[in-house]
Amino acid sequence: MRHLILAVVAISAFSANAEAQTIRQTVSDYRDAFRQLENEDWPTPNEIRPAHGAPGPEYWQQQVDYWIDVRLDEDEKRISGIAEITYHNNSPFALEYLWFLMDQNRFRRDSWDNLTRTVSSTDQISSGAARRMMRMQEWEGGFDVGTVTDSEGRALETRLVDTLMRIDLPDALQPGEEVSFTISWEYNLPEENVVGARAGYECFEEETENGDCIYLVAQWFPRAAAFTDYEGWHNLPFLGSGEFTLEFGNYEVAITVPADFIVAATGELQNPENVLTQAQRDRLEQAMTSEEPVFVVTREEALANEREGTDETATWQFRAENVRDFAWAGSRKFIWDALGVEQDGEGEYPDTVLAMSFYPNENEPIWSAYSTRVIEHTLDVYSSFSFPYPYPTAQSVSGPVGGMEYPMITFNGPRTVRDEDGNVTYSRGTKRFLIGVVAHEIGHIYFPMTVNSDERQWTWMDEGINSFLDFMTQRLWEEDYPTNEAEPDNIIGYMTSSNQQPIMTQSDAVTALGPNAYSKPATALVILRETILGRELFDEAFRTYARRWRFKRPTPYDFFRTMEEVSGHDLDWFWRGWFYSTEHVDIGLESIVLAQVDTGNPEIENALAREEEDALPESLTQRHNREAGIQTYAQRNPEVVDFYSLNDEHIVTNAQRRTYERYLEGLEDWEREFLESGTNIYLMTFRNDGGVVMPIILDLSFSDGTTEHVRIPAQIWRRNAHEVTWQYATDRELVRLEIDPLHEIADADRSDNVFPPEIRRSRIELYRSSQSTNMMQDMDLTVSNDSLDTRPERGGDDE
Amino acid sequence: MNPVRALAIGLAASLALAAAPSAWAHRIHSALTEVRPNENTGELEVAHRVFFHDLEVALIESGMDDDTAPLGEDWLNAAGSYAQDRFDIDVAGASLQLDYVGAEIDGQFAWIYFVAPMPDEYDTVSIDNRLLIDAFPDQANMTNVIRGSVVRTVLQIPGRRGTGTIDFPDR
Repeated sequence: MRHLILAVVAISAFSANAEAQTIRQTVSDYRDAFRQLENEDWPTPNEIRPAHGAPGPEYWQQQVDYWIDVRLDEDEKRISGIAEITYHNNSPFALEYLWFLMDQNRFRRDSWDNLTRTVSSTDQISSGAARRMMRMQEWEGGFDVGTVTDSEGRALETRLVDTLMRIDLPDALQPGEEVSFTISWEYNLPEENVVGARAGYECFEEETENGDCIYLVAQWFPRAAAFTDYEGWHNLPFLGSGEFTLEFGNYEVAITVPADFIVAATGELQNPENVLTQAQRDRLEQAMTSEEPVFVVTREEALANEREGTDETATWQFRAENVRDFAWAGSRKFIWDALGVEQDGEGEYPDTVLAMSFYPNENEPIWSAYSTRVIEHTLDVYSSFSFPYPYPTAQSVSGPVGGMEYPMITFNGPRTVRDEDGNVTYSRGTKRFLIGVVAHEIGHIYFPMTVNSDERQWTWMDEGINSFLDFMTQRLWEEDYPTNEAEPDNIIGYMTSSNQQPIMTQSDAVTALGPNAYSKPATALVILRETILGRELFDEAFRTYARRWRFKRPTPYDFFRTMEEVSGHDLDWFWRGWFYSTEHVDIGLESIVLAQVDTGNPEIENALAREEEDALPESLTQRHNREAGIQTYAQRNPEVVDFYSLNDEHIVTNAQRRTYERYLEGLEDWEREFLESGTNIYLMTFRNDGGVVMPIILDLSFSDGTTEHVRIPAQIWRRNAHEVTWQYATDRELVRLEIDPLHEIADADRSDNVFPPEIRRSRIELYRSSQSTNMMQDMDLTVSNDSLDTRPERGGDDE
Repeated sequence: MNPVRALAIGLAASLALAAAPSAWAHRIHSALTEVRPNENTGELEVAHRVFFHDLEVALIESGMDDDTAPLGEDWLNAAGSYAQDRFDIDVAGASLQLDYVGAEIDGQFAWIYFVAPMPDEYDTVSIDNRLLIDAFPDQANMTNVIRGSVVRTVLQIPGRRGTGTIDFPDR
């Protein structure tokens, strides 16, 4: 080794002297995969959002409180409301106007969403698009704003910009001050199944049904647009894809509906004595301490309720504190079950949360079996990853919306199947979907309803994090539960596609939201937890992020910084590869070289050299001469044979022995031990073909039957992100190597992951081989003892 | 195609599928298809990966009997027929006839397999992937067409349906 180093220095020195001409630089392909994101892609830290990822001493956010009186006109399918809104300006800036989200305006014919819809093709139109188009010709949604007045009844100026409304204030709202004003409005509820909203109504109009409807009501009042330190006023329009950016506040809401409705809403019911029977109130009380869900409204009661009908109304009053939104649902079809879920509220949050589900008879029996129990399980898992569930209720409501989340209440879609004879079935897929969607939507009450990320800017912060946690929740539902969306192998298709976009892309610009904002970030977090950081560090860092930012508004940088600071891992390389780039993961084995230490001992090294020489094939000419019986000159004249004829150059000389003895005397004990160990050094060269740097994970197998699992940190790529050579010393003989044996890094091409190379079969080949191996039998063909000709199999009754 | 006729066809389809449920507002409607030559078998392989539950909904809407045993042979064959009718591939300008191999369930996903004899030329590939769009208007279908280490993707999403064509770079 010492000789080798000297030789390199000598060659370099020679080259430099010989190159006395104009320097022509060859720019290398160096890529700094570990370059820091601070002050580059990440904003400069400040007193509001410091570099360690926690809210800073100057952190602020607005608060908006609502008192609302809302009424459902069931016949007209129309909502009318009046709200007194109090806006608290906690920012350090004076505000001359306030912006509000008017998201129902998306269903106006002249909305940006409606006008910018492009057609799929010039020679066909989808049934869904055609149906929506026809509906929009005969029906129109959008807010009809009545009056906007200040606390003294004076009209305030407003300006509408698609789904945003600006309210001009007569006097600028100074920091620390609040202003109250009143808004009245009405709008037509969309039919969810036709126009594709995130709320709306659905009526049951099959022959066996009586036309009753379920109403899911959301984005139903002017909600304050967010005013933030990083964006100022939020001003992205609602185009249907990117969800919402909202402020926390307290709500008092009175909901007037037909008297036979059951209403579920964000918050706690304030007047149960006015809208529930004594039996229902007793059952709710019983549910708080029950071990299993209790029916507050039974199936029989719900069916009877559907038949009766009424012209009277009732007003349900709800109160919700510190929520970023308010949604509600109502129907006379609802069965209602409830279960008190105990938790350690840590003195801040309820020690018992009322988990509740509301669903029509058409959903039974799977909803009463699973919905509330999935809520219970979800609270348990999510709280273990973050903080105790912070609200008194957690609700799952069935309706036409496949899955949508609001504070304390979620809308979920799976339903049983009923055939013409009334037979009820549900498929394996429906059960899985119910469990998955309830876990996912209830999970959203943590992210982003409590950890209030900006959904329209960064969808992954709620959908990706939430998909990661609902994956964990489903994995803990049942052994071998079939959820594999966040398993690394399943994201390879998206990561190798030519249309991949960075996870950090703004929501409305994402072309394939599912893999981009749900699956890929969820997979990245699974890898971060299981492979990069390990569970202990990941869980502590993630829990810290969740607790730091509950009831606050984090940005991606706050998440990234917190994960790094708490785990003690610089992860800029990981965020860069997985969240900012469109590269993929593909590590390949380029070569393995077996090296052994030159002992310097002439007795050993000379013999090895002779062995190597003897291993070479004999000169073909010499061989043919011998085989032909041709003698050499020396054979015919032995007097020319001398010392050199009898001894090859590998004979050990006395001079070599003396040199070796001096060499040994100059070595330290450990050096001598190493020389004599006979260690095998394997020089393994790995290529990074995909671009994303990742740990190199190896399974090594040896000829003595032993194995070793080696995990090389991603930092191995820090000097060369394209190719690295790593050395592994052992006294064993390596017989097999596999990169990423547990399929944990989403390696896209496994054909170069194994030494010695193995023939890989495609998924279709594997599928074929897993099928019957007797195709002749499967095709009902047979042969006879004396011919390979096939013929149809004979029936058992034949001769 | 005559635009009047095209509209008529579209409207007929909408009436036929008027009972279709709405798109799930908050769920991933996406599918991945991989098209790749297999030198071992001399075939072009087409493998569709869709969410199992989405496929289930789409099969019933497309007319499969509700009573068909989930994941039974008839169900899987119905999945094959469904996919066969909704995926077209042209290679070097010639339509490719795909042979159904089989289908299987893997966790949340259903996989549906087809093969065709490997065409002589494989430089220009056109894909029309209509899987699940009749059931879910927001369905995003991603088809990765693979040649060697090169992947080209045809993405079919709302507003970008119809045939997409990719060209591989000169070798």
